This record gives sequence, C-alpha cells and structure tokens, in this order.
Amino acid sequence: MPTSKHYWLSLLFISLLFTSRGGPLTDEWKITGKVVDKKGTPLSGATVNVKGRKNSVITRADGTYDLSVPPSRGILVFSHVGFITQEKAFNGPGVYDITLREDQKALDEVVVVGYGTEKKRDVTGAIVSIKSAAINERQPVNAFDAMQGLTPGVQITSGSGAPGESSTIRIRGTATIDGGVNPLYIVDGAPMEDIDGINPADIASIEILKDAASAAIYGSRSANGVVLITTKRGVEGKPRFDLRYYTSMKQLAHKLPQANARERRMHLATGVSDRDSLNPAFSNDNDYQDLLTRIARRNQADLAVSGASKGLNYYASLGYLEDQGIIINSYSKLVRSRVNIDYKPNDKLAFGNRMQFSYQTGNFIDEGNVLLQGMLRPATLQVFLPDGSFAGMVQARQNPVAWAELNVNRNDDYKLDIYDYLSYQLAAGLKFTTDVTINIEYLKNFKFTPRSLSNVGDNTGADRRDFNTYLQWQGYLNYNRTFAKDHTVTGVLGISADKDSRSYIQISGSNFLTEAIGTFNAAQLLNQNSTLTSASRNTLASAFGRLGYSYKGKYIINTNMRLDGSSRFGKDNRWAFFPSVSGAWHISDEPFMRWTKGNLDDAKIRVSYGLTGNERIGDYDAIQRYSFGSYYYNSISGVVPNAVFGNNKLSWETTADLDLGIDLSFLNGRVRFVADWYDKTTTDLLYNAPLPGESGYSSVRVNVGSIGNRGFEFGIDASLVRKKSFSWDVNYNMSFNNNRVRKLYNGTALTPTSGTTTWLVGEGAPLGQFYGWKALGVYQYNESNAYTKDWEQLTPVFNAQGVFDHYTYKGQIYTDVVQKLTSSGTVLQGGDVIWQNNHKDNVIDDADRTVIGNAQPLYTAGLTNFISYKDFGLSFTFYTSWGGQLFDYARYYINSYKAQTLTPQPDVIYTRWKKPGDISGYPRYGNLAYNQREISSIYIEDATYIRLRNVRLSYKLPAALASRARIQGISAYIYGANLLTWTNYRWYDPEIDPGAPLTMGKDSGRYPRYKEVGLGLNINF
Amino acid sequence: MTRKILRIVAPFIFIAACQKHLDQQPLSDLSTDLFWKSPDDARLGIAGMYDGLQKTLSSNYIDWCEPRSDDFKAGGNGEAQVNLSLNALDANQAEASWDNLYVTISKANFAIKYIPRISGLAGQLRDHFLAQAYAMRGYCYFYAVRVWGGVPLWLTPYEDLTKNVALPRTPAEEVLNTVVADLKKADSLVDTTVTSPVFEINAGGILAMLTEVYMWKKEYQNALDASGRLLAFNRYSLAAAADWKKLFIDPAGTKENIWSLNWVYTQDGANGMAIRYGCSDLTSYYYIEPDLVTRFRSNPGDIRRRLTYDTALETSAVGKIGKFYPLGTNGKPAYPSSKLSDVNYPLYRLADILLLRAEAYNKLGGAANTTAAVDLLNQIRTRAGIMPVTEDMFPTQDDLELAILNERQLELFGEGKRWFDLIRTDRAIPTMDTVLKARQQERGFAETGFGDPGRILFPISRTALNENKNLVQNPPYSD
Repeated sequence: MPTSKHYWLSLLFISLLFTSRGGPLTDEWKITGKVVDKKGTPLSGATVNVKGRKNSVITRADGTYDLSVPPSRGILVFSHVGFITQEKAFNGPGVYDITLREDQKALDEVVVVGYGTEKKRDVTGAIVSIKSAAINERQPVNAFDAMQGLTPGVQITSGSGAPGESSTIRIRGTATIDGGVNPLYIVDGAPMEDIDGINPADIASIEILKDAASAAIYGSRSANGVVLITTKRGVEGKPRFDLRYYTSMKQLAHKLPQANARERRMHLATGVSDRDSLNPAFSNDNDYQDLLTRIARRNQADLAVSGASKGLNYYASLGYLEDQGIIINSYSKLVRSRVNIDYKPNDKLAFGNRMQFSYQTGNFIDEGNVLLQGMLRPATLQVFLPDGSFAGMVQARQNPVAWAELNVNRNDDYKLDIYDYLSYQLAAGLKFTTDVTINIEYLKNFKFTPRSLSNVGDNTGADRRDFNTYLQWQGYLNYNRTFAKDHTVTGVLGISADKDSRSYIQISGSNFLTEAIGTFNAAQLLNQNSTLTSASRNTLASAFGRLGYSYKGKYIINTNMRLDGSSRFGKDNRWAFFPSVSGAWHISDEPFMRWTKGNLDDAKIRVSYGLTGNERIGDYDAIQRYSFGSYYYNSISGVVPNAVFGNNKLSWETTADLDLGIDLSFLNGRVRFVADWYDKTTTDLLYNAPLPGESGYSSVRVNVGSIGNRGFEFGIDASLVRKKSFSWDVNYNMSFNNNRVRKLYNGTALTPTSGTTTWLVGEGAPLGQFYGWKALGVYQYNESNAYTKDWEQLTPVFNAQGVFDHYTYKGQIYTDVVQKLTSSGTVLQGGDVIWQNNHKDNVIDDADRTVIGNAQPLYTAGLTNFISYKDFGLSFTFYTSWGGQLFDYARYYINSYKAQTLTPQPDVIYTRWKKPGDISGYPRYGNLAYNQREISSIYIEDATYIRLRNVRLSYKLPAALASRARIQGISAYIYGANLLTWTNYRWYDPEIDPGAPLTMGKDSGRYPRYKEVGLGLNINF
Repeated sequence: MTRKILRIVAPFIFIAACQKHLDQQPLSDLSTDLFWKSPDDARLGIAGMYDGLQKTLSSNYIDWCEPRSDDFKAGGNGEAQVNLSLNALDANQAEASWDNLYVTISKANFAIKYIPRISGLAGQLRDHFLAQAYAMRGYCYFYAVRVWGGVPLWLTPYEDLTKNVALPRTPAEEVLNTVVADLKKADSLVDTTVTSPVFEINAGGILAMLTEVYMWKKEYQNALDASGRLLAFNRYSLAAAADWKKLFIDPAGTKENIWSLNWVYTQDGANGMAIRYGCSDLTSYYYIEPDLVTRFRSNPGDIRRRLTYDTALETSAVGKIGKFYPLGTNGKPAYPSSKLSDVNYPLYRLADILLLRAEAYNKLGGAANTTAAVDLLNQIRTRAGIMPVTEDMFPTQDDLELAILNERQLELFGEGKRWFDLIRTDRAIPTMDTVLKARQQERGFAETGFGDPGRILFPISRTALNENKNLVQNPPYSD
C-alpha cells in the first residue's frame, strides 16, 4: 500500500483525469445519490467515480449525481476541493448519499522527520513544512528560492545576482563563530553537501527542523538546523507527463549615480590634473553600467514523467536551465536529471533508489575587476579603439569591458548522487531499513587571463579539478504500534557510518605560448607554489534512536538521541552524545476547552529541549602537522610546522536549545497560527583563537567560549476568503533573533578582518559589529580643529575681514588652553574629517576605534498572498529585513580619492569640502589615509529594505476545455521577481550574503541583483 | 553459549571497528611524529626556516629600515609609506607586525630541539645544520631588537597548549646577549670548510653577523676580532668595479658576497622589493631622497651612480631604483614586472664588513687605527672609481665617522643598512630631524621634526598587544 498521503493524491488525480463521461451501457448498475457537507448544504462540482475505473461524474447544483457502473461490487470515491475525499462501498444499484467533511488539511498533513514521518498533528518540535504547491507559486531556480520568505526563523539570502549563484541559509541566527554555518541537508534520507543540484520542480516537500529536539537525531551535524527535502514519487494510474517551460528577461534593478565626463572634469578642476583632452583616449563619455550590463535571458524547461502501478512507483525528470547574467559574458547552464524508483514486490519488502545527476557550466565575472572597476574608472577614458577592438589600460586603469569579455573563469561541475534503500517489514509495526548513499562530484575550474589584460604583459592560467566522494551506510528499525487504542508507541533505532573524501589537483602557470590553447603544455612557466595535488578525508560513525509515546494523540512525548564519533577530533574526545526531549499537549482536546469548539479546532503547546552539535571544522585541526609545498628556499621544498596549532583536546561544539511553541488552528483551519520562542546557547565554541605571534603560530582551534541566540518567531496562515470561485490566502511570518557572544578564550576579544575591514567580537556583544572610526563631520576651517582640555570642540569666530579672532565654547568666549588633534603626524585642518576622539589624547589613531554599526537585522518578515478567482491565480510575496547595517565598501573605495584616476560618485564631486567655511560630509580632495579610514562611519549604511520579491499571475485552462485537447491540465503565467524595493541603502542591493559569522556585512560591490519578468507554461497530460 | 559470548563481545567489536574507521591521518601533511626522523628531514626543516626569513624580509628588508632614513622618501600616497617616511608610525600598520620573524625563530627552535635527535645524522653535518639554526635565531632577534627594542624571548618551540604563551618583553640588553650567545654557539658548531651556496649561512656569515652585532653594542675591538677572523679565511675579496653589478644579480659569481637571500619567483611568489624599488608595471613606493641623488651626482665618475639608478631620471625625481636588476642593452636597468622579479637580497657582503671595520678602527682612535680606517674607506672609494681621501681631511674622529657613514650610504644604498647605521651611531635624531621637517613641509604637515625620541623604535603591533596582554607598548605610541 502506498502511504495514505499518496493514496489520497492518487485518488484526486484519478478523479481529475477522467472527467469526461463514458457512454451508457445497458447491463449496468445505476447509482445515484447526493453529496452534502456537514451542515447538509448540497455540494456541486464534487467528483464521483468508482475506484480503479475511468469514468466519473460531477455533482449538479443540488449536489446530486447519477452514475452507471458495470455490474460488480466496488468502491465509490467522492472528492471535492476543500473537503476530505471519502469512499463508500457499493454492492448493487441504488442510492448512495454522502456527507463530506471539510479538509483541515494542515492538521492531517504528513511531515517528514528524521528517519520517518509524523502526522503534523503529532509533531512535537519546531518543524516547518513547505509543500510543492507553495514551491510552484514561485519560479525557483533552486531549492533556496523555493523556501525564501515563507517560513519564520529561516533567513535565506542569495549571494548575489550572479547566474548559478548559490544561497546561504541561516536558521535561527548564527550559533557558531568559526565552525560550519550551513544546516545539514538531507535529501530523501541522504545527507548532501549542498542542494544546488536539486531541481525545485522535483521537490515534493521541504521540512526545516529548527529546534534541537527535532534535529538532535542528526546529532553532530545538526546545530545549524536540518533541511529535509523529499522528492516526488509517482502516483497510481496512467503515466503522467509534466512539461514546464519558462522564459524571462532580467535587467539591472537600478543604476547607481556615476560621474559622467562633465563631472569627471569638474572633479579634475579641483585639484586633479588630467592629460591631453584632445587625445581620443581621454575624450569619451562612457556609461559603464550600460556597457557592462545587459538585458539577460533565462530559459528553463522541465519534463517529468511519473506513475505507479502494482508495486512499482517511478518518477523521472529532466530539466534544463540556461541563465544569462546581467553582466556581459556571465552565464550558467544547468542540466538536472532525476530518477526515483520504488519497487515493492510484496507487502513486506521494498526496494528503491533515488538517482540525481547534474551538470553545470558557467563563466564567472570577477566583480572587482569588472563592475567595481567600471564604477570608478573615469568616464572619459577609452573603452574601444577605433577599429572596434578593446583599448588596453588607460592611465593605469583596467578596461572593465575587456576584462568581462576576455577574462575566463569557467566552472564545469558534475554531480552524481545515488541513494538506494531496502526495507523489510519484520513484524506488525516493525520495519527494518538499510540504505547506502554515494555522492560524487567532479568540479573543473579553469581560469585564464590573457596578455591584453595583464599589466605586466603576460598571460596567466590556472586549472583546478576537484574530486569529492561521500559514502554513507545506514541501518535502522522503525517501530509504530498502538496498544489498547489509546497508547501509541513509536521508535527508531539505527547506526550509520560516513566517509567524506576530498581531493584536488591544481596546476598554475604563465607565459602561454599561444592563447588559443588552454592546456598546460602551452604554459612556458609553471608556478611551483600553486601546482599541487591535495587530499583530505573525514569519517563519522553514529548510533541514533527515537522513542515516542502518544496518549490518545492528546499528550505526545518524543525523545531523540544520537551518539556520534568523528575523526576530526582528538582521540580522547571523539564521541559525543546528543539527547533531546520534546512534548506536545493538545490542550484543545481537554474537556475544559470545550467552550472553544466551533472556533478553535486545535491548540497545541509544544516544549522541547535538546543538544545538537557542530563538527564542521578542518579535517585535521586536532593533529599537530608539518606542511610543505609552498615553502621553497633555493629550490629545496622546505617543511614547516603548520601555522595553526594542532589541538589534540579538540572536541564538539554543543548547542543547547530550549523551544516553547504553540500551534493554533481556528475556524476549520481557516486561520492557523504558529509561534515559537527559543533560547539557544552554544558552548565549547570551535574557533581559531589567535595565539600570540611570538609562539610561531597564528592561531589554535579551540573549544572554548559560548554564544547565545534568543528569539521569537511566528507565522500566521489565514484564508481570508474561501469561496468556490474566489479564495484569498495570506501567509505572514516574522522572526526576531538576538545574538550575543557570551564567553571567549581567555576573554580575549577577537578583531577578525576581511581585507583591511575589521570587526570586533567581544563578550556581551553580538556578532557582526563593525569596528572603526566614527566621523562627526568635516572641519569647516583650519581653526575648527580646536578643543578644550577635556576635548570638547571649540567654535572659531572670525572678524569682519574673515580673520580668525577667538574661540567660543558653549556660547562663551574661551581663552583657556586650546588643544588640536593630529593624525599620521599632522595637525588636522579644514576639510579633514572630524573623528570621534575616544582615546582622549591628541592623536587620532587605531586606539580611537569603536563599534560603529552592526550587520545583524532586528527582524525579518515575509508576507505572501495567494488569490484565486475562477481560473486565475495571483500570488505575491513581500519580504523585509529591518535594522542592521552594511559596510558599503564599494562606495568607500570609489570615494576615497585613492588615486587621481579614480572618480568619486557625483555627490562627492558636488558636495565635498572645497574651501574654508564649507559644510560637508565628505573631506577635501587628497589621498590622505587619515581622512579615508577603513571602516569610517560615513560608509556604514542602513540595510533595511522591503521588497516585493515575486509576483505570479496564472491562468489555468478549465478542465473541460483542456480535456478536449487530451490534456489534463494546462496553465500559463506571468512572473516577476524583485520588481520593487524600498531601501535607503546606497549601493546596488542591501540583500547580500551575510558572509562568515566573524566578518558579516561587507558589501564589496557584489554582482547586483536584477529585476525579472517572465512567461511560463505548464502542461500535464 | 557462543551466542551469549557474541552478544557480549559484539558491541566491543563494533566500537573497535568504529575506532579504526575514525582514525584518519592527514593525507597531504605530515603529522608531527613523522618528521625530524631522517637526515634529509634536517635539510628540509632548515630550508623551511630560510623560507621563513624570505617571508619576513620580503618587504621588511626595506620597510623596517631605509624608508625611515634619509635614503628614501615616499613616492606615492600609500598610508604605510607616508607614515614610514614621516616617522608617524601607527600600531595598526602591517610593518609593525613581528609575526613572520617569530615564525622563523620558531622554525629555528624546532631545528635546534629536534636535529640532535635524528639518528644517522653524522656529527659534522648535524652541527652545520645546528649552526645555521642558531645563527638564524640570533639574526632574527638582532632584527627584533633593532626594530622594537626588547621583545619576548622564545628559545624553545611552543608545543604544549597548557604552557604560558603570553611572554612579556625581555629587555633589549638581554635579548642582545642572547644574540651574541647564539652566534657564538653557531660559530663553534659551523663547518668552516663549507663556502657555498652563498644563500645559506656559513662560517663567514656568522662572523659578519657577529661583527655587526658588536658594532651595535659599540664593542669595537670585538667587532674587529670577529671581522678579522672572517678576513683570515682568505676567501673573500672585493669584487672588481666591472663586477659590482654581479653582487646583486649573481651573488654566487663574486668573492665579495658573504650571505644573500635567494629568491625565485616561480617558487617563492612575488617579492616585496620590486614594487617598492621599481618595476616595469607599477609606480614604486619609494623615491631616492633628492639630497642623496645630489651626492651621487657630485661624483659623476662613481660607478655606483649609474649602476644604482637610471641617471636619465636625475633631472626629476628618481622614482626607480635599478640597482638590483641587470642592465639592458640600452644601458638602463631592465626592470622586471612586480610579480616576476628574482632579487637576491644581499644580507652581508665584504664592503659592508670593511666599512664596519673602518668605523671600529676610527672609534678605537689612535694614529694607526685612523690610518687603517682611512685605508679601508679608500678601498671602497677606489673600487667605486672616486677620489681617495686622506687622513688630514678629517680633523676629528666624528668627521671620519661621518665620512665612513656617508660612504656606507652610497655603497650600501637600498641594502637595509642606513637606518640602523644612524641609530647605532646615535645620529638618527639629529640627521632625520631636518629631513623630516622638509618632508612635513612638502606634504603640508606641521613641521614637528623627529618628535619623541621613543619614535626611533617601532610600535608593537595592535594585534600583538591584543593577543598578548603581557606586552607593554613602546612609548609614546598609544597602547
């Protein structure tokens, strides 16, 4: 038997399949009846058919139907949208009436949990489930797009607008500072490193296990949450073909202000000299954003075939996605194929596999050398030579268009994931399953920079091939029995072993004798430092279990546990135990809640507590090592102690998580509310604690310190209108997370850096604190740099001739000692930035740094609407991230006057300090490091945004019309993404990949996100 | 019965199998217990140690020294370069970090500890390796003392996390004593018959270091003794004028080079010198101080002038220093690109030692010594093709010292000596005060001159202060 869910689905599909009426035959039984709802109201449009047969009828306006069937006993199936499908046996002609119950779908939904499934009603942890219907409402490129904005507590950001770009997902904040930050992905029971290769059209459901109690069964890898993906299976009946096609156009969401030739010359007029304005190399007026971006196309086609018959269930799909980037010469092409087969020769034995293959190829654009370079290159400089070829470097500035077109950074990524299982029903309620997972990835990266782009007149290339394999074996028992009607016991017990091996070969060289050949027999010089092969491996062994008890479905208690051993840790600290316990109470089932009946369908209170772990660190961090390969001296390859001290005491990072939740369902499931409060504390933080450099080491991986995440999240689903021809459903969710570092190794605050951007990670403060100098303005006059003994700023007063006369302080004439601030050995003057003097001495230096912003948002929220009217459907999602800042590095860099060939943005050209008396937010012109500090608060920007993330308007051809064309269903839609954004952020997009926990929120001018509008067609037959 | 036993034993078999499954050794690195075993390991470990010095000196050979002196001025507007040339150092600047220096010291400490334990390593060969490790450690601490004054003293490798890692600074005097002790130890172990390669520390190199250390300590007789022993090897002599360029581009091809640091860009990557001194693709960080150019020009016949820089640039700023690159067919330096330059940094050569001896003789005083000093000075001048000097030109000891130092400045320009020479002879503040005032004026800064004498030293880097709470900042830098 297929599971109840699939059974239900199959019935629905069968009923939809055969809406045409068969011709009457004489030797038939005539069956009639009436379909009504609970209140006795007749239901029109309900489908009635005989199980296993083709013909079906639709009930009339008064709810009645009549049906002729061959004269043999059978089962009638009654179905209607919004109601639970019911069956009724018949053994002869006659009247068969039925009352259909409204579908409180959500409560009867099946939710996938670790190593099994549970009814949504019985779930005790914080689990969210997204079904394929919701996924189809978007036009997702990958599984992340499918989840984004739909679930509380889950923050998903795509890294950038680059084609083929993956996304990051953070579940309930960041619970680690240096360990792995991604959740564990389990696809059809098999762990996966990433889920980019999964075609979202193949996904039947996504479950996100947010609290420790749900995730603990995955033990050491579950501290960042677990994402379970279940792919589609066939449904009983004739093979079903699904064909989807989507095409769209994408465009830069908005252009940034950039200085044109006139503004560039204006900039030159104040302090910068330029050469030869008659020279064609300097007399252009380029709009680099126009030159570098384009209207890009995306084409996506998917074909899926599925079906099931007599113990064989299959689903196969093939998808092709061609995605151009909005920056010229960037693209990604992706082929994804999947075969799911389940074979069930008898009631006890089942065997099946999931096989997925994907191939992706694409060219990546180096944003720094293309877009950022384009934004700062003077508009006057030449891009094309008169003959149409690319101009080379002009005034030491790269040609960004040439760079985009000629520089190669191509990936070819092949992935094969195979999962096979065998299960056997040992006894009633007891099932044994064993499975094997094999994931193989071959990734080829080729980089080539031709001679024409090089400032040293040489071409360089690198070729890297990664070969990664992952093997896992699992064996487990599932138990599920109900005793004496009221007592249900469920259990899981199993063991598993994993082996993850990675290796790569890399070759790098220069001076290719011809640029037509990219293999390294053409390279005349090999770079010994980066020509190497390397390998690493880690293993995991585990035992896991679950025990659940439910009394009448009213009181439910579950315990999950896992014992994990990892090769990554010190010999004596290899094993760790991750227990959890959770309980749920259907308070609405209690007699004292009877008064709520009719309004409140269900109220469930959940409490859970558990431990989860994080083991994602370097494979050999616990072993003191010697390295070699890049430590040559005089042609001898030196052997040196690894810069990271091997800590043989290394052990697990553990997250303890308390979760309190409530699930409410009102008005026959028309309003559903879920809220959770959680308190997660991660202890034994795994991070690279800096060691004093005098030890000869840079850092040591340690297991100390603690970080906390406390948060509240809720989601509301409401069916505002639920009429036959009009319905309107709304989903709103909102998440607050408060993150605090509680303890660090020796209490030493960390100042992690990315480039020269610095963060401050200290006890009692959240992650993501930008550490830099606070700008208070720009000195109006040289004399404005004047302070009292206590470093309060004085106001200079000038006489009628404009000559300085005296100072005032708080309106009073000041005659006491006047102090002046200096920086880099010079007294600050008019036009220099007024820096906050935190150290209270006369020097502005690194001791004056302070926290000037935080990258973490206050809250995030998503609002999704699904509206359907007759055959039309409209859905749209708003998403907001509120609070939080970003360091706008790109703007900082462009406006820092670092070189005279660099052009600031127009507002800097117009408003910067130019002469004594100017009041400005930007300092005087000049490459003065003390005016352009990194990070300066001038470039810390509010990253709040509200975005209309996607809109989809669809039309479904009425079934009657479609069936004439022998098509079961056909729908067309218009789709739009990122159409509107409200933000004060000044670079392209405030939604960026948050980055590593220690260095969050630096926008170094990423590949901009785009607006997209497309058309799609879905057909199934 | 057997089933019963199995039932008891099975979990243990499972756990044992797991343990084996979980035992994963590094696949591309060596775990500690597998190194320092064979004689070849000593050679590889020592090569790793030299690699540490390469990484240390790649840019600091220059930045720790001459940009602070009257040799260079900052060419562009790079923050670090401007700070260095204005004596406005900042604890946050990369040059203040001693990490690479200590990585090298740590490697020497490992070698000193583990080389004696390698079985099958013959006595003399083993001692020669050890001599290099001791000398390297001494050399590194000598740099540290000159740059920061007192520094934490690590004489054993750090191997146990439970041991204190935050050592306070040891006073400069004590560190210097350790330097002398290390060099003496090296001197006693070194195989004096080994003369090549010039890229490794040999007996001559150790004595050259000792000479310079004694000069720093103002122990002139000791300096003369050490350098005297070096001369007694009879294997070093000044290169002919025609071979002067070879000192930098072919150090093994002269008898003057004592120790040079090897650099091969295909193995070691880009070095820090090309971008600082001059390369084909980028503007250099540093220009020659105009006054120095004037002095070079005052002796048009000085071979060092056209071999140090392109004389065509003299009319404006000399923004490229071609000293370390071969001459092209047009007679101008063939600048390599910033990424593809092989510069063998000269660390010690005979001219340096001879001039140090001249200084020492001068300091010791007395007619004979003065004659010896002038004689040594003239050896260098004659080779350079300029007029010799006579004793009567130097009425005072100080005058002669100044002449020797000026000669050193021209001869050893760009070789990481000048700033330390100024400190060593207590001339840093008087010399630089005027130079700095001119530079400050040029950049529109207040003309504060040298400022606090504490600024002779570098600040301890901000990172080091954060990581080690027992460190105390050098005044007047903010802690």
